[in-house]
Amino acid sequence: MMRCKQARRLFSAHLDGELAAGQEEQFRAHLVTCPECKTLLEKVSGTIAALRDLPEQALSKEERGQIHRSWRSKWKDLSRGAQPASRGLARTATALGAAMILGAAAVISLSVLHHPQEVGENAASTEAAAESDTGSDRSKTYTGHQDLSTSLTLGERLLPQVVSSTRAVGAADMEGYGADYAQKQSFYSAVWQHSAEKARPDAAPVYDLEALGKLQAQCAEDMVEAAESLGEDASVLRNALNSVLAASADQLPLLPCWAEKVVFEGKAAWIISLSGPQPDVSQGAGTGTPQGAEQPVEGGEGLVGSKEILPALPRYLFVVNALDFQILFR
Amino acid sequence: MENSLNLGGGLTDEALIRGFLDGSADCFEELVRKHENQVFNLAYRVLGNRSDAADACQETFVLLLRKLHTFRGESSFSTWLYRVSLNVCRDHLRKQKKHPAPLPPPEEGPRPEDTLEAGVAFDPEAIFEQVETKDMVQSAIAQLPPRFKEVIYLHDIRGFNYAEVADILSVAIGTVKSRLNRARIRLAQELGDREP
Repeated sequence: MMRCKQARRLFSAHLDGELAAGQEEQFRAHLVTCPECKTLLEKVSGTIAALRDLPEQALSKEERGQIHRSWRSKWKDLSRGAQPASRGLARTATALGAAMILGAAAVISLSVLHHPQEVGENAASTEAAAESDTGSDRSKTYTGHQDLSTSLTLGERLLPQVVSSTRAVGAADMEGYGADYAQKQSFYSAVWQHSAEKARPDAAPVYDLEALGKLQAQCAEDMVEAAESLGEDASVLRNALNSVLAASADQLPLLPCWAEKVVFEGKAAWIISLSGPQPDVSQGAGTGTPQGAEQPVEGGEGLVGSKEILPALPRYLFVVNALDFQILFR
Repeated sequence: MENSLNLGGGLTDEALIRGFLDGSADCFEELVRKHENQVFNLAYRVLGNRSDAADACQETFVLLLRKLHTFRGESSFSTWLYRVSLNVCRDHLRKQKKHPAPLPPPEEGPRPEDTLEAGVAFDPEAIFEQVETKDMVQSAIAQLPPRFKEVIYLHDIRGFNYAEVADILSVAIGTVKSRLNRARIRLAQELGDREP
C-alpha cells in the first residue's frame, strides 16, 4: 500500500503522464483512500494551470531605454581604448567554438611594466590611459615611447580563459600539460616582455608591484565570472584561486591566465595556470623562476608550441582539489 | 523553447554574435532586442519585482558585452543566456541577503481592462478576480526558494522540457524532476494558505 510521502513524490510524474501502468494504479488506489493527498493533488494541478496562464511581463519603454543606454555606455567605454586596428571587440576574431584568447573587449590602463623616468613624456598616451576604466594610478601609467609593444599594453585587456570539462587527468598528464600554452604566451607578450626588453643588461627588470597586484585581482575576478557563465560554482574556483595565489605569494604577483575544470585522479579539480616573467616562450622554453628572465633558454627556434618544448615551460601550474582546496600538483 | 533559427527575416543568433565579434554594435543591439524580454521575464519571476528585474537585465547585457566571446556554441545561445541571466539573478539575491533593501513601492501593473481578451464582454468583477489570482500566484512564487522559482519558471511558465531545464541549470534530469515536484507542492500550499 502506497504511503502519502511516496504518493506525493509522484504528483508531477502523474500529472505529466510519466508513471508506469502499475505505479499509476497504485497511485490512484492511494488517492481513493486518502482525501488529503487527493485535495493536494487538485491544488497542484490548479497551480500548474494558473502558472501557464501567467502573462508575460512586457518591458516598458523606459525600462527598455535604460537597458540599451546601459550597454551602449559600456560599449563606448570599451571601444574608446581599443586600437584602431582592433576596433572589433574580439581582437582575435574569435569564432564560435574557438577558445577565447585575448579579448580587446576592454581597456587595460595598467601598463604594469615601466620605468619611472618615462612618466609624463607623452601627453597623448596619458590621455588614452586616463580614458580607461580600471581606475589605476595614472602617475604610474606608462606614457613613453609609442613602439608597438607599448601600444598593445595600453590598448588591450587580457582576459584569462576558463574551460569547463569532465576530462579525466592524472599527475603524469600534468608533466606534459600544454593547454595553457597560448594563453601564457599572450600574457607574456602583453605583460612581462616589455619590461624584460627595457631592462639594462646588468639589471633586473623593473615591475610595478601595485599595478601587478591590481591586474592579478582583476584576472582572478574575470576568471570567476567566466566560470559562473559556464555554469560552474564560482565560489569553488574562487577558493581554488585563493589557495594558488596564497601559495605563490612570496613571488611577484603572478597572473591567473588559464583555468580548466577536470577530474583529477577521480576527483573534481581545477587546473590553474599563472603567468609570470619567463624567457620569451615564442623563442623556445625556459625553466625560469619568477624572477628568471635571465635564465638560460632551452629549446630553440622553430619549436613554438611543439610538444618537445611544452614540458620545459616554466610551471606556474597548479591542480587544486575542488572539494577541500588542497594543492595536488604544482 | 526559443531557438536561434531565422524565423522573421532577421539574422540568426549565431550570425549576430559573429557580427558582434567583428565589432558591430548593431548586431549586439539586435541580439539585445531579441532576448531582452526573455531575460527580463526570468529576472522578474526569480527576483519578484520589476525594478530589480530591470537592473538584472541591464547587468546581464553589460556582462554579455564583456563575455560573449567566451560563448562556445556548445548549447544554444538562448540556453547559455538563460544561464548567464540566472547567475546575475543569483548574485542579486546574494547581495539582497547581505544588504536587505526596503520593500519597493507598489508596482503599477497593467489596467484591468487592458488584460481583457478580445471579444470578451467587459466584466469588472471577473477581471478583478483574474488580476487578483495572477497577483496571488506571483506573490506566492516570490515566497519560494530561488531554486524552486527557477525550475517553476523554466518548466511551468516558459514550457522548457526536463532535458532543457537540466541543461540550463546544469543539473541532472532527475534533479529537475524532483525539484519541480517539491516546488509545485510548495507553491500549491502557499496558494492554499492565501485563499480567502
